[in-house]
This record gives sequence, structure tokens and C-alpha cells, in this order.
Amino acid sequence: MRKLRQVLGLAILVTLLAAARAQQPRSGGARHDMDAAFHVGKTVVLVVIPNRRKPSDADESYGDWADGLNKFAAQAGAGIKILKVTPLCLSNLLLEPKLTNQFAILFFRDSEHALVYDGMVLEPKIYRLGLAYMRHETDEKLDSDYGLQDKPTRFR
Amino acid sequence: MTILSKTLDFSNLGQVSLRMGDNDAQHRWGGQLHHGVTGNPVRQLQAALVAVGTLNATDGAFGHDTETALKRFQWYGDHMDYRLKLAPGTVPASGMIVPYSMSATGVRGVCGQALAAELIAWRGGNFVTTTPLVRLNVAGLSNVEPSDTFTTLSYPSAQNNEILVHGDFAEVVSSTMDDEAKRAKVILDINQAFRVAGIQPSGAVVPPAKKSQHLVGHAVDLNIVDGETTNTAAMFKNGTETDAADTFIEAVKKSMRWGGDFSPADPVHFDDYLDPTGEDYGMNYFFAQHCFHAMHPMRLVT
Repeated sequence: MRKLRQVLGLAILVTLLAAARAQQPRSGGARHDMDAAFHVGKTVVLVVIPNRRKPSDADESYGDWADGLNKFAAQAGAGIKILKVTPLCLSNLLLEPKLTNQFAILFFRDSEHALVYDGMVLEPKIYRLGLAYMRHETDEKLDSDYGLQDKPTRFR
Repeated sequence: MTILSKTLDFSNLGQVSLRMGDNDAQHRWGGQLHHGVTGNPVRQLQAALVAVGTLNATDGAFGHDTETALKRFQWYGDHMDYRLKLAPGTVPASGMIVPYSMSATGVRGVCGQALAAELIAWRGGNFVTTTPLVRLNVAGLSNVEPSDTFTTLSYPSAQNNEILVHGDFAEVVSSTMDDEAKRAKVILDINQAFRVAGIQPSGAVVPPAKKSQHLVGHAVDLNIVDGETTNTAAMFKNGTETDAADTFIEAVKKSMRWGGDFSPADPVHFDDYLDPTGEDYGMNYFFAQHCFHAMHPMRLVT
């Protein structure tokens, strides 16, 4: 009887641990996709989008952001891997940088450096500056004016 | 209602007004059955609506699509001052934009004798409905210019220095915005004006907004340039925009919406707001988007 209790207790413990592990937020496979892209010489753009229902169709801020992003994605070319992640997914992927907005974009030059915009991108110039950064053509003054920050990145 | 004639024709409807539910095959016209009378007035109405560009196909049954197409034509008659004259067998791009006005268009969604005569006259004259958009040549404005990221839309007659906007909004840009920019001593760098609806053919990442003011040509996205300083969205976010930018915004906000007041903020966005739930928005959307895809010519406003 005592042994049975021990076995049952152990089983419950294992189940609880497994459940807790299952509930831990993950990076949604983004790390694997990023590594694969870097491996074949691509640059990576991480688009941070909150995991919620799409805003109203008359939401102009959302509309401007979505239109700019779709145009950028359509013109980005095969050398750039664009990945969508949620803010939670991002925090499980990266130790640094830490972002505060629900919307953001990170233009990765390589696995250790990214040009970061912490918010909704509403100006096409930001995509142009991001592309230039990934080509190692940085204009620090312009980047700063447009709210872009060159940040070291650190993966979990 | 009694119809004496044995045949009911669209060119001679008499007291009959075609409406939702009418059907040639069932001999139902004006909401009533007419046994012993023949004719295809609904199909003829539909053919006229196809010809003027508000309907896609004919089937002899007056349903939702026919009613919508008829309402579009009536709305057009009430709101638009121009139409397109096309030589038979030619494409819209070769058409000529001509001024026009229509008198009473009657009850929305119902076609009586007078409206039928109007439609027949349109068809006979090879006229079609056209776009509310215009090409605004900002080179003629002192304080408005396309930014270095502005992309001229792929359009037959589109030229550099032209932005596509609704005819009404063109007046707002060329008067209110240009005048206030002049007063505030700033330059408005336009990033985008009219926007084509739908997701990009490839690479779309997120669904677009379907009721934006850009889709009806009533909005522009722009950066306010004050001397050497381009006021970016980030500057507004940080409260570091220039005083002249604030002066300009306060002035135009008397008659427009500024996206900096939205939540989330969109400081590069300006529009004069057409209620997206209203009839005018829907009609302008149809004519702007449909005629853009059909490559209708657009009036040049300088």
C-alpha cells in the first residue's frame, strides 16, 4: 500500500511537471527558422504582432501599418526571411533587446545585431533604413530620427 | 395595375416601376404578376446597367445585385459631375471625361420610366460611370511634394508629382493643407494617398484594413518637414516634434482628422473622414476601386 502511494505520488509529480513544462511559453519555432535562414546566408526580419483579433477595418493606424508591412514583404526578395512572432514568443526567443510595445520590428543583420523599431511602423522610410542596415549601410542620424536603434541581440 | 400592351419593353415602362423580386421568366414586373404579357424589361435594365458599368451580368431576375447596381447608378447621378464617353469597342483608358448632370433619379433601387430613359440615353451615347478620383499634380502647390519613398501607382496616365485622391479631398490638400503649410512654413512630404484594395499578390503578411479612408482617396500619409528637420512618427511619440509642425497640425485639425489623436497614434496620417458605415463611403469605394482596376482615365487637377 505504501509502495502504491509512492508510485502514485511519483506519477502525479511527473504529470504536473509535464503539464507545467507544456504551459511554458515557447518561441514558436522562430529560432529554428532564424538559424536556418542565417545558415543559408539570408538576413532575417522579425515582425512582432500581438496575438489578438484583427482591429476594426476602419482603424487607420492598423491600416497604415498593415499596408506598409505587406508592401515591404512583397518587395523584400528571396534573400530576406520575414517571420511573425507574438510579443510573448519574442521574449522567449531573445534575452536582449527587451521591447515594450506590442508591435515592433527587428531587422537582423546577423544573429548578433538588429536594427529595432519598438512600435507600429507607419513610415516607409523605416523599411528602407532597415534594408540598408541589413546591407551594412547604416545612417545613424537618420536611424535615430526615425526611432530606430542598433541593438546587440542575445538569444535564450 | 393593368397593362394594356401585350409586350412590356424597358423603353416604354409606362406606369410600371421595376423593383426587387421582378422576374421576366415569371412575368412579374412592378411587384405584380402580369399573365398574358411578354417582354424582358428586367434583362434590358440589367443590360443597360452592365453598359454603364455598375453590374456584371444579366439574368432577367431583379435580385440583390441588380438593386445594388441600380442604386449605384442613381447615387452616381446625384453625386458625380463627370462621366466617361467611350467609342464603341474601345477600352476605358481611351475614354474622354465629360461634364454631366442628371436630374431626379427617383426612389433608390426602383427603376421607373424616367430613369429608364436616362439609362437608355447613356447607352445610346456610349457613356459609362467613372472614378471619383483625380490626379492631383502637387508640383503646382507651393508646400506639398511627394516624399522620396512615395511610389507612383501603376496607372496608364500616372506621372511623377501626381498623387491620386478623391476629387473632394484634392481641394482639401490643395487649399487647406497647402495654405496652412505655407503659413506654418513647413513642407508636406507625401508618403501615400489613394490605396488599392486587397492583399498584395505575393508576400502578404497581415490582412489589410478594409474600410480605410485611403481606399476612397480621402487620406494622405505625410511627414512635416520644418527646415532641415523631418518630423517623424518617433518625434511625435517622444514629444520632440518642431513647433511649426504643431502649428500646422492645430490649424488643419479644424477641418480634418489627424492620426496623432488616434489610439494607437498614427501621426503621419491626415484625412477628412467619410463615414465608413455610410452609403457615400460604399459608393465611392466601388467607383474608385472598380474604375482604378478598369484603368479609367482620371481628371488632372493642378
